[in-house]
Formats: sequence, C-alpha cells, structure tokens
Amino acid sequence: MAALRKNMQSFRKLNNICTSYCRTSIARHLKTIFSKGDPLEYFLRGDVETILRRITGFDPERTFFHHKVKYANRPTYKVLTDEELQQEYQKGEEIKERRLQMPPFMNCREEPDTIIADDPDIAPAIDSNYVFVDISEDYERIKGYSLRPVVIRHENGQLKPADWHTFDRVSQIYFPVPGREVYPPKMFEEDNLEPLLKEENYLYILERACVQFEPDSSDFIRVTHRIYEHIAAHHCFDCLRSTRFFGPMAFYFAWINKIEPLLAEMIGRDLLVDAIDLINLKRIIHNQSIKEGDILKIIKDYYLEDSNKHHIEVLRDALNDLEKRLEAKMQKKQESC
Amino acid sequence: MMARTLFSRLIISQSCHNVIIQQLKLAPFTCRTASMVRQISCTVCKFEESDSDERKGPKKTSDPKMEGCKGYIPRFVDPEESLRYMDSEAYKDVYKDEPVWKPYRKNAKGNFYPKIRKTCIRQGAISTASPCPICRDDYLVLDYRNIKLLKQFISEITGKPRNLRQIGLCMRQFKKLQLELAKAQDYGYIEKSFPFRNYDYTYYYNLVSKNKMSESPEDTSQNTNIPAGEPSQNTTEQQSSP
Repeated sequence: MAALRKNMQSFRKLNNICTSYCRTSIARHLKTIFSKGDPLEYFLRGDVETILRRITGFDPERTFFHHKVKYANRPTYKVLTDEELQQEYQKGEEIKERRLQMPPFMNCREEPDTIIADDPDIAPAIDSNYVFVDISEDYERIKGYSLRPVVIRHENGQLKPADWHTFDRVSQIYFPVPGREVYPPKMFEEDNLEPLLKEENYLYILERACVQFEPDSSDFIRVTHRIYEHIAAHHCFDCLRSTRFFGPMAFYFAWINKIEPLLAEMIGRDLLVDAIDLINLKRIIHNQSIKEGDILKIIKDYYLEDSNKHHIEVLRDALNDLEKRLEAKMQKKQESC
Repeated sequence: MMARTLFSRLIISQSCHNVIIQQLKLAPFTCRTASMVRQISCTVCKFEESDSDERKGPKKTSDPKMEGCKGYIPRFVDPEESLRYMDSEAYKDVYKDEPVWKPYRKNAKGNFYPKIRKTCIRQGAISTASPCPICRDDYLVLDYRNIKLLKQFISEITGKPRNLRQIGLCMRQFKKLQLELAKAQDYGYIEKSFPFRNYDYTYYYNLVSKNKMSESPEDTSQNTNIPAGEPSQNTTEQQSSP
C-alpha cells in the first residue's frame, strides 16, 4: 500500500492541480447569475419547496437507485405482522425523504480578504506559505462539514484566512467527510468534464459533486450549472426526474429566466400542471404575482407576454403540437358519440 | 509408540471394578531413543555442465512464438497499442466474449488454494510455467484509459476489484490494477461507490435569517472561515446508505 500511495502522490504532482481551475471563467459566470441577489432566500421558501417537490415526482426505481454499493449483500426475506409492515413502510418514507432532499441552491461564497496580522519583519525567514489549523472541538459544525479557522502565513509576512480551496483540503485532512477526496477528482476539471457529459451519465457526476464539494463552493456551482446547461441543450430533462436534482435544475432555469426548454418538454409529455407550477415558480422568484385559472390560458398568456424571446421557438413548437393533440382527442370523442 | 502405551493403560483401568481415574503422565519426548541410529553414508557428487543448465531452467528468449511460456522476455507495449488490441480480431480469436481471466486456472493441488504469487516475471523473463492472465499476454496492459480491460477485473455492483482467487493475478499486476482503477475513477471513466450526502438545513435557514437581519452591504464575516459563533449542539444523524 505504501508503494501505491507514493504512485498516487507522484501522479498528482505531475498533473498540476492548482493551475487547472479557470477562475476567470467561473468569475464571469457567477457575476452574471448572482448579481440579482441571494437565491437561497427564495430556495428555502415553503411555497417554492412544495412546487419543486411536486415537479420532481416520485418513481421508486429512480429515487432509490444506487450507482454502486459499498457491499454486495444478498436480499433478505422477512415474515412480518401488519404492524411491522407499517413500520417498514414508514422506514421507506424516511428513506424517500432523505433521497429526495435537494442540495441548496446558493450564492458562491466569497474569498476572504481580511488581513489578521501583518509582520513584514518575519518575511525573510519564511520560505513558503504556512497553514495553521485550529483542531479544537468547540466550533459550530454543519452536518458533514466543519467550520474551523484555517489561517495562512504568507511569504510576505501577512497572516490571512485561507482561501476556500486550501480550506476544503485542510478540513478534509483533519476532519474527513466519508466519500470526499482531499484533492478534488480530475473529472470535475473543465477539460475532463466535457467527454463525461457526452455519455449523459449526469446523475453520477452530480451525486459525486454533492459529496465532494459544499453547495456554496465555486466548483460545485460551476459543475452543476454546466450539467444543467448541457441537459437543456440535449433535451434530457427526464434523466433527473424523481431524483433530488430536478428541483435545483428547475430553480436554476427559473433564476436565469430560461424555462422555455423545460416547459416545452413538460408540455410534450402532457404534464400541464407541472408546466403551470414552473411558470408560477418563475413568477415567485422574480417577485411577480401567481396566476391561477384555466391551465391552457395561463400557458398561452405566458407564451404571448412573459416568455424569454430568445428561446421562444421551442415553446411555440410544443404549443402547436399540444393543440394538434387536443384537436385529435376532440375529434375522436365526437366520432365515438 | 506413545499412543499405544496410553491406550493400553486406559483399557486396563476401565476393566477394573474400582475405577480410579489416573492422571496419565506422559513420558517426556526426547530425540535420544535406543531405536534411532545415526546413519552416515557417502555420496559422490557428479557435476556436469549440462545438468547445471537444466537446473536453471529454459533459456531466456524473445521469440514471439514462446509468448506466455517460461523464459520468455515480455515486450514493452504502449497502452495505446493495447487499446487497439482490445478491439482487434486477434483478441476475439483468443478470448472470444469471456473476460480475460475466465480460461485461466491457478494450479492448486487438492482443496487448498495456494499463496498468491508475488510476480510472474523475474529478471525480465517469465519465471513460471503458468503465468497470470495479464503477464502471459504482451498486449494486455493495465492502464486507466483501457476501461474495457479494467472492467473485466472489477465487480459490477461495488466497483471494487474482484477476489484475487477468481481473477488469478500475481500481486504485482494486482497492485497495478488497483492503481489504474483508482486513476480511472478519478477521471470518472469508471464509477465508484460513495455514501449519499445529506444536508442539515437548519444551518442554511440560519444563514438566510442572518443575511436578512444584517442590512446592505452584507457582512463578509458570515462567509469567512473564522466563525464568531458559539459552540452549538447539532444533531449527529448517522449517514447510513439505504
């Protein structure tokens, strides 16, 4: 195992992890999206959460799907009384709640800029950056992540809080989260992510991103947003339905005012109630009032007035198809009568 | 001799009406007994050059016809060439549709599985008569890009390498398999198992309420990693995979 560890270390050094994060492109993307305010406020609202839950739906095969399991166990068969069966159903409900818990849609956390201490006299003695961690147990713990002071003494003598990449790495060394790597896997770098997206294995990448990154880290935001955009370009929205990521995806499109592709897909599948939910979601996020009434009328009003003109063609095609289908249904009814 | 004397004593004691359970004292076992006589014989050692060659084994060859045999010096093959080999007809001829380790069986005498071999290749040449499935074929190279080959050695359910007794690799190749598998999982070519991540929403509710209370411009202190907070009790739910 020691030889294996040595090999992995040399492999990582050769591949230069620090230079591979293209911070300028992330910064540009984040500026455009999060200039409107804090999305977490809206994401955590009760009415938004109910809408998102309704849209995701529930398909047991998809919700409880495991890519890979830790141990290959045989299935167990039990003989249960009615009460015990009810308890098992309740356990199933709890598991369902856990599997459908949506990762929060957040603003990117800001890099700390404060200087705690400035001692330029020490500078000649410091040959590289020194990282100091506080390992005491008193600090507030988020489940699965610890917020401890990590501080760097730079070569110019300044003592600053650590930037978030260093903080994540150091935190993982001293207080490991199961499933998380100290160095982020190479699959999340931009060059390596593209070939993986072609195979359309979105769920695996998203779940791994959830384990590896915090929801407010720039890497998590970059990866998830890139996946959502790829899904929209290839019209694979159904891949994420009845999983925990459908809600955040719908929220993302509502936030950037691009719900037309998703709307068109819902209309194509005759999920008109979901379509109205999505329109109302967008109205809530942009502080407009929710409209209620005839389903078709709401969709048509949205198409005529509020839709984003860049993506309107998809919606137009979908609505035309819907009208044809409805006409065909009416004709069939008249013939049968 | 010892067993017979014990048994005879037992029979005698049981046959008596008044059975006294005797603590049978075993005589200490020593090497020096009368029956053993040291035998010394003279053997004449005849040394010939042809004998010494045979004892060392077959000569080392690079002859491709001797591929997979004892004494063959394996060629260095590029991992990319190995990728092409996996799709070629030569591969299909030899292995057909089975995984590479299926036709191989380690020579085990009786019920006991032998120790796992350290390596098939010593001093540059194959040093066993039945090398493991990868050492015997030059063109099978374990590499993180060679997903087709790697997937044959892992279990589909867990994403971990299969039991060494099933696949029959030597330790050297197995370590290489572990390394290349880890690299492939790092790149995302092969899937890995990891626990499901759940979030403690109370932290995020607190964040939002803090942000609302502080008026613009937002305090950056809430997002830095030096918390002003007090120690709080958080529920420690266990993350158990369903």
